Amino acid sequence: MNWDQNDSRHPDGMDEFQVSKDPGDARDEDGLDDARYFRERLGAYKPPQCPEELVHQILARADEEAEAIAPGEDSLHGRFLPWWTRVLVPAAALVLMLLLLSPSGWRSGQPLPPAPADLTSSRSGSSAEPCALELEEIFRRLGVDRAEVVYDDATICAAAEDMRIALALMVQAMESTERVIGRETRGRISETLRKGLGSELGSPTKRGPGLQHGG
Amino acid sequence: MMNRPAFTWLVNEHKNAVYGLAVHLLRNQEDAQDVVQDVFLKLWRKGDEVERSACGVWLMRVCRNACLDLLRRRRVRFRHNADPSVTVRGAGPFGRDERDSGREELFDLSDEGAGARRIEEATGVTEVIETMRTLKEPQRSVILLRELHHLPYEEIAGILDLSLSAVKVTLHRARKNVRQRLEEAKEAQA
Repeated sequence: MNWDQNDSRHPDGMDEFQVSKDPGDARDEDGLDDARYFRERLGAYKPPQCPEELVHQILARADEEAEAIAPGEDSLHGRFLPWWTRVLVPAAALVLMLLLLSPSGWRSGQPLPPAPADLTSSRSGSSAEPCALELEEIFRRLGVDRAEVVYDDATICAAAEDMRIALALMVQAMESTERVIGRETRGRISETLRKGLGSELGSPTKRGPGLQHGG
Repeated sequence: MMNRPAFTWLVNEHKNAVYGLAVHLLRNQEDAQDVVQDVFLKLWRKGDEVERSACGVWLMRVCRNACLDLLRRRRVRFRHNADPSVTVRGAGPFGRDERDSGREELFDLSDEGAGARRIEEATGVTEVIETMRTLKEPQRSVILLRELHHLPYEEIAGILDLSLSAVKVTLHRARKNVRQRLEEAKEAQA
């Protein structure tokens, strides 16, 4: 093909399809110029590398944890606790649990425990701090591993105050009544709470594996 | 718990990505090291609950959450310690007052140390990264993961739990914002 060096068009003639652009607009329609802009500036950049000592520390701590819970004669359990504790302690726990769950048990007629101060204090608070504390508490009490939940803190803290209080009170109600209601009812409350928490977190929100066994 | 050889392999495979993200978000190597250690130990404790194929995304997500939690806790502490009658120092590089910025600027405490920092060269790598860090979430995470870690859109979507189109839109806005801020800073200097 006879190609004129002064012709800026590509030999395949693609330029004839190009739309004339405003010279001041450095970005084309699909944003490719933006990508190029960053590539040119950050092309030579190398992200920081993880120090080897840190890797050693991580592996050492993992080993420590593994040793700490490893079964056998070296474990704390086998060395210091006599054999009869393995029978007596679970039995005592079972009896205690039956007493607590019974409607005519020793707690019947007694007033419900007072509300935790950290949950009710949110009524007057409107800043981000009580919000954050409540949510930590809610996650903890739900048995949810917060680290695995993708969320946007700005969304959470901008959520309506009433919703946060409602969530906090639901957690509190669940705690207060769990001694006198059955597992099934507790499960229903937990489920409601999870749904409420999901809407509180906003969309899109994904629940991590920890949410599956909360409550 | 996970078996040891598998864990060692995963640590070596993902250490740089996780550490890099933590450093970029926290801008402090010591804090980043603490977070990275916690993240990998969490993986160790989780054992086989975490799918191997999704392990990278899981690690990055947990790391990001841990970093944001740390920044938020500092923010809370910062607010508790701050005297409300005094204008909060640590305004962003564009002169915004944190006190007025409210909850939307929740994570911007990370810029506390850089508050008075001026952008000297609008085209320098450091300045570009610093400007990226002034963005709000999730724009900040998206642009860091894309431009510095070169992750594909699908992985970014998995880490941030956004749709693919949301990632693209967020990235587009983030790039635009960074360019705009850099240009503004350059003009202010001129």
